[in-house]
Amino acid sequence: MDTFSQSEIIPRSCKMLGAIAVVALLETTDRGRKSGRDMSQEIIAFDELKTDYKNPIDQCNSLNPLVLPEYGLHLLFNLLFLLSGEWFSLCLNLPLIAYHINRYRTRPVMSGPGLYDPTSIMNHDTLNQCQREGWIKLAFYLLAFFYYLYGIEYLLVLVILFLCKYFVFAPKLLPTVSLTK
Amino acid sequence: MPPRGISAPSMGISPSLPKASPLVGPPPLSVGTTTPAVSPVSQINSSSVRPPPTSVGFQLHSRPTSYVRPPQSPLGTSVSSTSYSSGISPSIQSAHPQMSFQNSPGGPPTGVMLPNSSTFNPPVSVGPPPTSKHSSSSSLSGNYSPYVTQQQPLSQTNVHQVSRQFGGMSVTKDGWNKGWGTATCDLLQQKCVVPPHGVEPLSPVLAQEYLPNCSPDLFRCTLTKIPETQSVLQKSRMPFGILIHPFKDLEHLAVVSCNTIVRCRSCRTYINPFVVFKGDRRWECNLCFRVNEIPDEFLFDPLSRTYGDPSRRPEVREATIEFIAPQEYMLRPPQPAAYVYVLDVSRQAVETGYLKIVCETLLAYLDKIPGDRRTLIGFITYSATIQFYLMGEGLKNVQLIEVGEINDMFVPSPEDLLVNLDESRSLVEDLLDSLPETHANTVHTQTALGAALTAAYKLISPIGGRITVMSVTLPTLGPGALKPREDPNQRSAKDISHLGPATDFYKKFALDCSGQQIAVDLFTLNSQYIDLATLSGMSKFSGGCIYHFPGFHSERNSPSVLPFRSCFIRYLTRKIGFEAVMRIRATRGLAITNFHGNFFVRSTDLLSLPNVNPDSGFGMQVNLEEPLHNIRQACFQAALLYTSRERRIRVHTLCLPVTPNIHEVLNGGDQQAIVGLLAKMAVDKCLSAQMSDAREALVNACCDALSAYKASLSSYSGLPAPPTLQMMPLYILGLLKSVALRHGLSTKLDDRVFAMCELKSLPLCHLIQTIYPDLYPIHNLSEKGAINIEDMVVPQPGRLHLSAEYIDRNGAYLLDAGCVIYVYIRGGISPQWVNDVIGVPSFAAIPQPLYEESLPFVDNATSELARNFVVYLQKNKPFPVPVQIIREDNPSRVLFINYLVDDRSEGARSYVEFLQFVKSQVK
Repeated sequence: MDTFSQSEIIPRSCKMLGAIAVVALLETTDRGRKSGRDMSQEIIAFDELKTDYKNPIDQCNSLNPLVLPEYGLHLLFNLLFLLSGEWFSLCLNLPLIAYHINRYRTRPVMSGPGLYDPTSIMNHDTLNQCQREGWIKLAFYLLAFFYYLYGIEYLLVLVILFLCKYFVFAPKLLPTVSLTK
Repeated sequence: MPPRGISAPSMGISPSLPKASPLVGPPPLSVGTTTPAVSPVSQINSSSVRPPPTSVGFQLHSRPTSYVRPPQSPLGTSVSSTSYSSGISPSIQSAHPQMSFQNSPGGPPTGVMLPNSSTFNPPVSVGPPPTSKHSSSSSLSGNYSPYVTQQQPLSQTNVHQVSRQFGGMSVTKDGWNKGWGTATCDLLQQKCVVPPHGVEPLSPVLAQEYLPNCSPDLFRCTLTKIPETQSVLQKSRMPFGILIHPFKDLEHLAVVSCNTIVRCRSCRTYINPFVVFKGDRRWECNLCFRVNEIPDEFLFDPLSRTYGDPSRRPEVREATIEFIAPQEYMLRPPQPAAYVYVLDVSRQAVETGYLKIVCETLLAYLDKIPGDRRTLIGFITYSATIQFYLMGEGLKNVQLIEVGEINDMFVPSPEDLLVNLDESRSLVEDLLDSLPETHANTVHTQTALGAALTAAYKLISPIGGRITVMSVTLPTLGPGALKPREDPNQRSAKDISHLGPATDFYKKFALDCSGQQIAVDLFTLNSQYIDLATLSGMSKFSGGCIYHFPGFHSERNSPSVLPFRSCFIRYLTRKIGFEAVMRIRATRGLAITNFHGNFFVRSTDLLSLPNVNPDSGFGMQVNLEEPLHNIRQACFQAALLYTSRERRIRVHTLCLPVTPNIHEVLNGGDQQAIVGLLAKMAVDKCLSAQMSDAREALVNACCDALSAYKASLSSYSGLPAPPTLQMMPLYILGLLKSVALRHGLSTKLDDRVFAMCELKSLPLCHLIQTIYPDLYPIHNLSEKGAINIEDMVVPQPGRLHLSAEYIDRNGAYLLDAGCVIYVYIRGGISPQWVNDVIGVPSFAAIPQPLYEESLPFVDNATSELARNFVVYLQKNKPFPVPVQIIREDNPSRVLFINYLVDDRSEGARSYVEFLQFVKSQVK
């Protein structure tokens, strides 16, 4: 037959379904919206600090619990990329993983989880750095989200093509099935 | 080939003039007129050589690669041995790019674009250019002679000739510098840069001289002339910031009590001498330029009791003023003074005997503790358990309650623990009498400081106030337990680890305290490692203060008792401001970026200071966010709101002129303030990066400032420095050799961390003294030039460089290092002097370790002069420090020798070497 051989497309689509669909699901339901909200929330939070609406202690207390879940989610779907062999997507995310690990390793001494220390957050440099980090990560997550979305669509097209081929090129199969019933 | 310094000016006037011998030089008149043509060239030169940093604001940066020493010149080997007048070959190298201009036809390089010409605005009316030939020839001889008399090897005759010409060139330099009103000094040639009577604090020169500016003791800016734009600031390569000592004890302070405090409606600035009155009823804010109404009350002059002229009000006549705050400045009624003492009573602590001294001192000074009839006091002691003392009103005796539940602390009957000092006076006195004996036989060696702190916090948190912690041993139990981290083998390493905290328990505790208006003051009296790096967190972030008395022992180390006692007396009796906040406002366009000191930063310009004390200073880094076009003066205003019986606001306003001219900015640098700010930045750098980075960054800062200055000059050999920065390399060197930042000398981690805390929180005058102590010869004190203070004749010996070179073997010297005074007596001292001042017949009879609060009392004129001098020095300190007399042949002379900053020490350069190094870095 032509290039769309069954033996090729089934394992491939499984893999992609297994990975991308889940990832995309994660992205759309959890990651895409939630982390997007996290990031914008962080940016707004730092802006609030700058324009002195909020006490740095409260602000850090509300931000710190969000840091680890964000890193965890990111790690989780990269793990899925790894399992499904999506090397390109994984490579895209590797620098960010490395950055996250390093950032958490060099965080200020604190007993709880999190990154932000209320005593140093008001330093001009630290505040600017956190804000810039927030913007860049938001941009990265958004772009990555659209890329994953494109990945799903590509898969959908593939699946539709496969189905079409199945039903168009093998129409005899259907009546036989109905006949046997 | 004449160097450019001569040819460039002459090209502007008459091309036939050069080739003349440098001794003649161009006529000084032409010098004055041609300078503007010369200097932009040099600016281009400088910017092409070393682009200004791109980062916003001044940062301490370290360049990892640039610190390799450049290849030594042929003269290099002799550089360090022949002192100040060497360094000739680098000047030739630097001359090469400049010489290329001479080849370009048509005089000065007019074809070159002048990107900076808009910012370069030579002020023509600064001072008259020298017109008489006489003045230039006199300066010529001064500058020229070192080169003529210098012995040079034959092979370097050419070098010598060029250097001659450069010597001549600096004559022209001098001419036009005098025209600018500033004289440049060459650090390599000027051997003595320490002014004999101390560095005069630089005060900003305002256009309206009659306006009172804030005293430099209280408020200093690193630049006494603010650059107009960010680019000028970057080109000047100077740190920009302010240093403030807001709660200093003042002899004269205007206090105003009024119903409405006049403030700007939009930025809330307090009215100050630098506002502009617009007509009778309005004033323009000098920070945000909003025009405000003057309330009727403000037109009344309380002194003359007349209406009409707002400019006679004290608010407008004083740059430092105190308001008694009306109701709207209080969230709650002014709090009573509340003090809780948390005392270590472990085995080691009791053995040092500190408890007795603390109790005795407290007992003696109970009346002088600031407060009123509502003053509250409480005591908690801790070892492996926590002990509370019930002193409630109805009780006959003090009752001790011991709580062993250190992991889940609770406070039994708080109302009997924190008691009114007046009502329970007898019980408090009983307790202080009996406390040392109660714990004399304690067996606990471990301590649970964290639990004791939690208890103290619970006790005092409804009111706010002050917790005083005395700690002798490393806390090893309960929350906040610590482990010894110091590696004694690493004490002199280049990079010190464990400068940061091991746990954030103490920092969190401090933040909780700060929220409840509690400050924690820490006294450490340890002889073993106590992890001050971690413990200091409780004071750093709660606006407290830290005192460290290493090796304290009342019997074995009796000299340590005196400083501890006098410090504690000062601590108990000094003024205190409760529930304080300080807000710093600045002219629009200036923004405060970083804060240094002990406090918690609550918002971009608001510092939360649960307690403010008169011995703490603060530093802030400032950034130019918008250019200050059309603004002639920039202002900083610090407003400190505090409670001491009543709610008060102390307002300091500092006004500084704005200039677009980089030369004025460079000449207006305040070296002491700059070094003060750099020290604070270096401590931050130590914590965020490595100590070697911080040291490197300090050297870079020094090189940057000097190379910016050199670049602003048209040409100069040697190492030029403006007079206001001439001590900067010396101070930087002192800082590199200070206890906080030194390497090579074994320094205990706690001592180092304490020195860092001091650098962050000392007021500037004391900070400078710890960086570069004052050395005076005292063997020939005379009444000549003496000053008279309260019927006391105080001689004024000149300060000396801290170098063995200046220490005569027949002399006696006094070194004032801020926290200690050393009197160092050399072997050749005249017996007469020893007899007169020390009161013993000969040098050999001077008792070995001799500690006094002043010099011994001997009834004669020489002794009186010396004693008066020491008393005078002590008066300038927050509390009297011990005077230690050291004989030359005593092993403890190392203490004195270590302070000789100018000399080479282990792992550190001497001043001359340091200058040579800076010179090699300055391009």
